Amino acid sequence: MGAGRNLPEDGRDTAAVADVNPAVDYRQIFLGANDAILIADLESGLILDANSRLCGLLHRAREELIGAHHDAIFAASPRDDASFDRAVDILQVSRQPGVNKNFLLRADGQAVPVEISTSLSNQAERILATCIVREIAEHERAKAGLAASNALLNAIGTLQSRFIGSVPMNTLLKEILESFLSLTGSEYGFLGESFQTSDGMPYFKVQVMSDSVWSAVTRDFYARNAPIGLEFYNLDGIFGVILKSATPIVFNDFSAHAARHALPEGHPPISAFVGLPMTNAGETLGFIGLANRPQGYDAELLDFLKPLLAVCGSLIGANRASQWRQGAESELRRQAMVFNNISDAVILTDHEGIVLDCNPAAISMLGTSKKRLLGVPFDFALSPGDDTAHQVRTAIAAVDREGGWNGVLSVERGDGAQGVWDTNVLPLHDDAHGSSALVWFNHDITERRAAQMKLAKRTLELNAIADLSPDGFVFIDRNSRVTYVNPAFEQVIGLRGKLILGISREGFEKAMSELCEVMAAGTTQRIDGDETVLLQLGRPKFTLLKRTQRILCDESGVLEGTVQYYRDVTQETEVDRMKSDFLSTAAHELRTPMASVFGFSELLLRRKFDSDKQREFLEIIHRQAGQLVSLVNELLDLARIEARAGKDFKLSEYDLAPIIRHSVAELYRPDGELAFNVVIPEQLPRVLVDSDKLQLAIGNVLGNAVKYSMGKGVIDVGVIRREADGGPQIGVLVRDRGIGMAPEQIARIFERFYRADASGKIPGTGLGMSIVKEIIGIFKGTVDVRSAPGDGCEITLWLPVAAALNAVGEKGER
Amino acid sequence: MLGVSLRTIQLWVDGGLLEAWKTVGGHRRITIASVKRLQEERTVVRSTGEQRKGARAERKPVVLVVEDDADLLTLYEATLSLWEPPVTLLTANNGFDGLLKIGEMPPDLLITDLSMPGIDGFQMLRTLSVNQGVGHMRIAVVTGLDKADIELRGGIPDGVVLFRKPVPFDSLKSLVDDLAARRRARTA
Repeated sequence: MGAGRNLPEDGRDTAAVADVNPAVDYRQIFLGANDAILIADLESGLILDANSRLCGLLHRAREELIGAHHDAIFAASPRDDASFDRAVDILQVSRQPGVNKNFLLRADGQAVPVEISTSLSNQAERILATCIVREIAEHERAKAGLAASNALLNAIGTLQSRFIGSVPMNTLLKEILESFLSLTGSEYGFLGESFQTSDGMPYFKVQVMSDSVWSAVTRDFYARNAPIGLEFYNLDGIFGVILKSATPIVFNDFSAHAARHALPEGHPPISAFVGLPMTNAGETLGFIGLANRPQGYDAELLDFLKPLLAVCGSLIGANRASQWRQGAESELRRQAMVFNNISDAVILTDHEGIVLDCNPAAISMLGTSKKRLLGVPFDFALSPGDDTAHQVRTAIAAVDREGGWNGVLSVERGDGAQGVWDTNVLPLHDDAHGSSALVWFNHDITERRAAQMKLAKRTLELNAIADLSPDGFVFIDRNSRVTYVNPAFEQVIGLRGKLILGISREGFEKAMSELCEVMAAGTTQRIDGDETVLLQLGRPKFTLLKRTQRILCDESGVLEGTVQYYRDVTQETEVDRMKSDFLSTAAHELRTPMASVFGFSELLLRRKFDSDKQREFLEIIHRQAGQLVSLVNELLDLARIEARAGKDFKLSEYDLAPIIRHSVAELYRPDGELAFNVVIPEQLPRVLVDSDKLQLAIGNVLGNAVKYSMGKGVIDVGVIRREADGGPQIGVLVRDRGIGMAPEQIARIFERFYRADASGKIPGTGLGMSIVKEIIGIFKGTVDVRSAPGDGCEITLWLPVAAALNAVGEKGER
Repeated sequence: MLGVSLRTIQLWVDGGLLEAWKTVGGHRRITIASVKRLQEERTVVRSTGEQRKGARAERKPVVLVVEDDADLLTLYEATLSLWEPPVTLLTANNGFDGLLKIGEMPPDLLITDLSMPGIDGFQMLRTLSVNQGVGHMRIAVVTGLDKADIELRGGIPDGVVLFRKPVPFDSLKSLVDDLAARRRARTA
C-alpha cells in the first residue's frame, strides 16, 4: 500500500511517539495482557507478534505464529450464524472501525469464536495492525443452551399435543425418538417398552428404531420389523440392566464395553451409547437407546433431557392406561354378549337358590318369561318336585364346600317334555349381586342323552348278534387298527382275539395270509361297494372262507372303519362240488352203457350178421343193459337214502345171525366155485336195524368180495365185538383173499363211481360201498376197511348192540 | 413221416400233461424216461403207421377213435367197417394213447370221448390245441356229459364238433364224407 510506504523508515512517527510514555513498559503490557493480542503487517499480511494469551487461545507456540500468514489462523465460519462476520481477511476486518466477530482456528482444527478490535499504526513506513482478540465461547454456549431448551420445550409441547390429538401410538413413539435424536445429535437410536408375557415373563419390545441398515439382509430385516417391532426375551444383558435402573446408563467408551459383542456382525460401530429409562409412577415402562453423539453423553445432557424423559414416561403410561380401559370395556361388552347370546342357559341365583338373573336361552329353554323366573327358587323353576329340590340343594352345598359343582339336573322343558341338563355351578363374586351369588351354566343334553342311550342299546344288540353269529366279524377302525373280533371269528380262524386286537390292518392281513393257502385275487367280487374274496385256510384245518368287506363312511364320506365278515363255506362249497361231480359222472356212467345198447341194437336192425357176430353183439347189449339196471337201481337206492335220511327205514331189534346167513345165501350159486366160510356163534346180541337195508349192505360187501376174489380163495364171514363210542359194538366181518387195494384206493373206496378196477374187466357201478356206508351210518355204525395189494381185503360193518342201547337208555331214565 | 418226437412229448409234458397224469392216475407217475420207453414200445405201431400211409395214398380217410369203453370201441369197429367208401380206423382207450397215435400219424377225423381214466379227453384236446403241427384234422367229441358239465370242467377248444351219446354214426359218416369231398376238390 502506497500510504504505508510513506511512513517514516524507522517507524518512529513524531506525532505517535509523542503519545508514548517512556515510563511504561509496553512490551510487558503486550506480553502479559489479559486480552489476546495479535500484531500483523497490514501490507504483507504476515504476523509480526502474538502475546501468550493468544498463543494459549490458539494452542500454538509464539514462534510458530510469528512470521506466519494471518490466513492460517482465521477459520471459515463453522455455523450458519448471522451474528458472525463473513470476512476472513484481517485486512478487511481491520479497515473497519469498532469490533468484529470472527473465528480463529485452533491448532486442533477447532474454530474459536472471538471478538476482534483492530487499531492501525505507522511504524518505519509500515502500517501495523494491532488486534485485541477476546474469546466469546462462553457466551455462545449460553446462547446455544437457550436455543436447545427452547427446542426441548417445543418437543415436549408437541408430543403432548400429539398424544391429546390421538395420534397412533407408534407414530407418537417415532416422533419421541426423532426428538431425542435431534436434541442430542445422536446418530442412531431406538425406543422400546417393557411388557410381560401372559405367563408373567418380562420382555422388551423395540417399538421404533432409526435406520441403521448396513446390508441387503439387514435392510430387509429392518423393513420387515420396523413397523411391527422387535421383541427381546433375554434380558440378562445390557437391556435388562437399563430396565432395572431408574437412572440413565451411559457407555461413552462403548467400543471397550463387553456389550459391544451383542452387536450383530457388520453393525456400524457404536462409539457412545446411553440408555434412558422411561418411568411412570415409579415403574419403568421402557427405555430409549441413543448412540454415537459425537461428543459423547454427559451428565449435563442427561439433566437437560430429564423433563422430556419424564413426559415420555407419562405419555406411555397414559397410553397403557387408556388401552387397558378400552380392553376392559370391550371385555365387559363381550361378557354381556356371551351372557345374552350363549346357547347354554345361564342362571344367577343367591345361595338360597333364588333366581337373581338369567339369560334369554334360559328363558326359552324353560318356556317361561324373565318376570316369572326372577325371585323364584331355582329348583322350582326347573321342575317342581322333591328330586330336583334335592339335586339343587346338593349342588349348592357342593359349591359352598368345594367351590364348584358339575352334574346332571332333570328339567321340565318349555315344550312339556322331560329334559336333562348338564350343569356347572360356580360361585360368582359380583358387586351387583353381592358375593353370595351362584352362576349356573346349563347345557341341554336331552337329545344327546337320548342318542347315547339309543346308541348303547344298538351297540348291545349288535354285540349280541356278533357274539352269537356263527360267522366271523372283524372291525377295523379308521386308524387301521383291529378293534373288534367276535367269538366265531376266533373259533373259525383259530386266531385268538387277544393276539390281534389293536394290531394294524397290515399285521392282521399278514397273520391271515400266513394261515391262507389261497387268497386268489381273481375271485374278488365287488357288489355295491362290498368286496368279497374266497380264502382257503390250511390251518388249523382245511377251511373255505368267504370274506366280505364293507368300508364304512359317515354321511360326509369320511372313513369310519372297515367291517370284515367271514363265512365258513367249506361245507356248502364241498357239497356243491360233490353234487356237481356226482351228476356229471352219473350222466357219463349211464349214457355209456346206453350208447352200447342203442348202437348195437341199431346195428343188428340195420344189417344182417352171422350168428356168431349176432351172439357177440347181443351179449354186449345184455351185459350193458344189466349194467344200466344195476346203475339205475343203485342210484335210486342211494338217492332214496340221501333224500329221506333214513326216515323210511323200518328200524327194530333183530337177531344179527339170520340176516348174515340170508345175505350169504343170496349170493350162493350151487354151480359156482365160491367158498364162503361162515362162522357165527349161536347167541348174538340183537341190533337195531332195518333188516332189508342191512341185508343190502352186507350183500354189497359180499358181492365185492366175490368179484375181487376172482374165484380164488375162501371168503370168511364172521362177527367180532368191541367197545366203542360209549358202548359194546358188534362187527360183521367179511374177508377175501383177492387182489386187495393200495392205501390210495382204500381212501377213495366210499367215493361215488370210484372203481378200484380201472381195467373194466370186473363189472360194477362204483356205488356199492357208498350205499353200504350210508346204510350203516343210519344205523349209527361205522365201516372199517383193511387191505393191501395182493393180500385180500377185510371189511367190518360195526353196529351198536341193541341191548346196550336199551340199558343206557334205562340208566338214563333212573 | 411224422413220429412222436421226444420234443413233442416234452411239449406235452410241459403243456401240463405230466401234472394231469399225476392227478388222474393218482399213484402213477410219468417221467421222460418212461415216455421214451413207451416210444420204443410204439415202434411196432409206427411200422403199421407206415403201411397206413400207403393206404392214405389211396385216399382212404383215417379215423381215430379214443374211447375207454371196450364195448363201444367194438361198436365203432363194427359200424365203421361197413362204411362205404371205406375208412381206416385207429383206436385208443385213453387220452395219452390217443396223443401218441396222433403223434405217429394225424388222422383226418378224431372222434373222442371225454371221461376217460388217465389223461382224459379234455386234457388231450387242450394239449392238441396248445401244440401245433397236427395237421388239419377234424375233431368230434362223443360224450355222455352234458354241455353244462363240459363247461364246468373247462370246456373244449373252438372248432370241435360236440355230440352226445348214443354215438351219432350218421352224423359222423357225413363228416367223413364231407372231408373226402373236400380232399377230392383240393387234389382235383
